[in-house]
Amino acid sequence: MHMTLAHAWLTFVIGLYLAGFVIYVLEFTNSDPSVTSRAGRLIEVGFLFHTLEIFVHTFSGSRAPGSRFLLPVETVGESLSFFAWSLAFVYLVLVKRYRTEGFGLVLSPVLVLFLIPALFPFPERHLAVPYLDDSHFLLHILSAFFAYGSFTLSFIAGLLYLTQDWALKLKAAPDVYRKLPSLEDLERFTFRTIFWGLLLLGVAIVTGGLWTQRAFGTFLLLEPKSFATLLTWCVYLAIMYFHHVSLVKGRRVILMSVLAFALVLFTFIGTGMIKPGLHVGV
Amino acid sequence: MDLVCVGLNHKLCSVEIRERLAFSESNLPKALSLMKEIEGVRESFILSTCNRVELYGRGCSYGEMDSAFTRFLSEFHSLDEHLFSPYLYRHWNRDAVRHLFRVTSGLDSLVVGENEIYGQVRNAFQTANRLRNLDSVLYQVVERALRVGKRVRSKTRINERAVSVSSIAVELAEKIFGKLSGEQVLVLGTGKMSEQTMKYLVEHGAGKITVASRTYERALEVAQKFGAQPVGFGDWFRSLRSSDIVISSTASPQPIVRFEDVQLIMKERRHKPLCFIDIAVPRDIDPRVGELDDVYLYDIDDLKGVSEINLRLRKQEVEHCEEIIANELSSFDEWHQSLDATPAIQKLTAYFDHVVEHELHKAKQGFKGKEKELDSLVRKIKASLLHTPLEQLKESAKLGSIEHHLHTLHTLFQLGEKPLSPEARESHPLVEDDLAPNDFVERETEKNSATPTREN
Repeated sequence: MHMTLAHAWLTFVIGLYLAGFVIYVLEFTNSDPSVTSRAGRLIEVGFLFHTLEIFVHTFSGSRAPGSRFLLPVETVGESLSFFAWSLAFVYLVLVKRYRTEGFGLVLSPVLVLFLIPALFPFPERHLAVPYLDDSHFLLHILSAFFAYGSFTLSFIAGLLYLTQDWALKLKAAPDVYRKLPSLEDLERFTFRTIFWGLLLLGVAIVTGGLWTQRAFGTFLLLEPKSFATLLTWCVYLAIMYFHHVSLVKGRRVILMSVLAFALVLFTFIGTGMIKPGLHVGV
Repeated sequence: MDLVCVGLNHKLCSVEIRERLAFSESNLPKALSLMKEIEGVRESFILSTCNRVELYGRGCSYGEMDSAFTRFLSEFHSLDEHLFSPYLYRHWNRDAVRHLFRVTSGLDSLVVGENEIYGQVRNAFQTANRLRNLDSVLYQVVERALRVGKRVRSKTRINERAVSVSSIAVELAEKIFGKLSGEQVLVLGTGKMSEQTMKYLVEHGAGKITVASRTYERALEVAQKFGAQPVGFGDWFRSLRSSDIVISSTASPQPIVRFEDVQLIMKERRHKPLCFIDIAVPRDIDPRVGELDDVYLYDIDDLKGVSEINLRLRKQEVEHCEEIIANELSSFDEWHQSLDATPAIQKLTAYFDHVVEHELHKAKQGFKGKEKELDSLVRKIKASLLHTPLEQLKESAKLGSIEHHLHTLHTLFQLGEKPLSPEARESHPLVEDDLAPNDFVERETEKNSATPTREN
C-alpha cells in the first residue's frame, strides 16, 4: 500500500473511532438514547477498515524479503496500530456480549490514542531473522497482542468498577451509576477478560518458545520482555486464583487487577526501553 | 358541539374531599349510565383515580353541562356542592382536549411522568366505551389521549428515572448485583414501606426473601403475601450472614445493625458486596457501616436525595413532552375540522343521488331491457362529477379554509342553513356545523347515516 494512501486510510479509521467517541459522550451526557447503537456501529466500521489496512500491510510484498507475509509489528507505530486493532478485535469479537456504552466511552479514545502515533514516521528496523512467516511466529504475535488487548479491557472494566463503586457510595450521582453496568457485571467482565488474557498469553509464550527453538535453538530468549511476560502471566494467574476460590472479592480484587495492568504496560512498552532485543517495536 | 371537563385534583383539593368524590370500580358503570341520562349530554367519560376526579362531556352547551356535572357529583356522592365546588376546575373544547392529553402523559400527575395514570385512563376509556357513553368526538379525544400518552413515554425520558423510595432502592440494588434473581434478601420490620419495597423486589425477580418482625405472626402474614420465609426477630442475625440485600424499617429507637457485626460479616463474606436499605426513622443501621469496603448503605435521606435529582431530570423532559402534545393537538384539530365538512359532503352526495334517481326513473322508460348498463353509466358519471369537488372540500377542511366553500355550497345547492362565519368559528373552535336539512336531504341523510367513523 502506498504510504500516503496508508496514512489516509488510518486517518479515516481514526475519524470513525473519534466520531464514535463523540457520540458516546453525547449519549453519556443525556442526549438521544438511540445514538448508542450508532456509536457502536461506527466502532465496528472503523474496525473493519482497520482490518483491511492490517491485511494489506501484512501481505505487502516489499516488506519482508524472503517471507510470504509479515504482521505489521516492525516499528513502534506499526505495533501500536496493531495493538489498537487487537484491542478492538477482543472487544468486538471475544467479549461482544458485554458491550455497553460505558466501555465504548473509554475504549474509543484509547483506540484513537494508540492509532495516532502510527501516523508519524518511526525508524524502520527490518528483522534479520529467519522463519518470519512460520505459523508459530504468526500465532505468537497474534496471541500476544490479543492477550494485551484482553488485559487492557480488564483494566478498563476495573476502572469502570471503581467508578461505579464511587458513584454508588457517593449516593448522589445517579447520572453516573445509571449509565454504567452493575458491579457484578463489571466484575464478571474483568475476570472473563483476564481469563482470555491468560489463555492467549499462555499460547504466546508456548508458540514463542517453539519458534525461537526453530530459529535460534533455544526455548527462551534472554531478554527483559521474556521474563516480564512470564511474571505478568504468573501475577494474573494468582489474581484469577484468588478470585476463583473467593479468597478476595469485590473492590479489593478489582484493585489488584487494575494495579496488575502496570505489569502489562511494562511488558509491552517498558521492556523495549530497557534493552531492545528481538522483541522490536514496543 | 361543546366539550367540557369538570374536575378536581391533588393540586387544589385535599384527599378528604377527593376520596368522597371518587368513583370506585364498582360504582363507575352506574355513574356512567346516569350521565347518559343528563339532558343535552351526547357523550361522557369519567376519570377517577386517587389523585383526581374528572368528568368529560360533549353536548349542546358547556354552561349547562358544567352545572349539570357539578350537580351530578353532588347527588351521586350525597355531598354538599359547596364543600367541593371551590376546588373544581373547568376546561372547555380545545383546552379540555389538551388537559386530557397532559393528564394521560403524566404531566399533571403528583409524580411527573408516572405510568399508572396511562392504565387508569385506558381502563376508564374501556368502561365508558363498553357502556356506550362514547360515540364520535369524545371517543376520538380519549383514544388520541392514549396515543399521546404512549408516544410521550416512548419518545422522551419522562418516565425513565425511578422517583419512589422503593423503586430507587431496587434500582440501586440492581446496580450492585445486576439481576436480582440469585440474591438473598432480608427484610427487617414489616411497615408499609417495607412491603412496597418487597413488592418491587419480587417484581424484579429477587431470589429468596426472609422477613423478620417483632412478632412471628406478623412476619408470617407479610411473608405469605410475597412467598417469603418468615423468621422470629431473634433469628434475623443468622439470616443477615447469608443475605446480599437488607431492607430495614423497624421502630427500634437505636441502631440494630452494628458496625462491628457488619465488619465481621464482611470478612466472612470475603468482601462480597452487601447492600443495606435503611428506611427507618430513627435509623436501624449504624451509619459507619457505609464506610466499609463493598458495603453500600442507603438511608431514607439518601433515597429521597436521589428521588429529587431524578424528579428534576424528569421535569427537564416536560418541554419535549409539551411539543409532542402540541403536535397531537394540531392533528386532532385537523381531524375535527374535516369532521365539520362531513355533513355537507353527505348532503351534497344525497342531493346528487336524488337528482340522478329522479332523472334515471324518467329515462328508464326509453331504455327498457338495458337498465343495468344504464345504472352503471349513471353511477360512473355521478362519481366523476363529485370526485374533484369532494376532494377539494376535504383538503380545505384540513387546511382550515372550509368555511368559504361550505358557504358557497349551501348557497348554490340550498343544502340547509349556512355555517357559522369564520369570526364566530374562531371563538368556538370545536363547534360542529348544525345544518338544518331540507326535506329530501333529511330523508337521504338518514339512509346514508351521518355518524363519523372511529379511528382504529
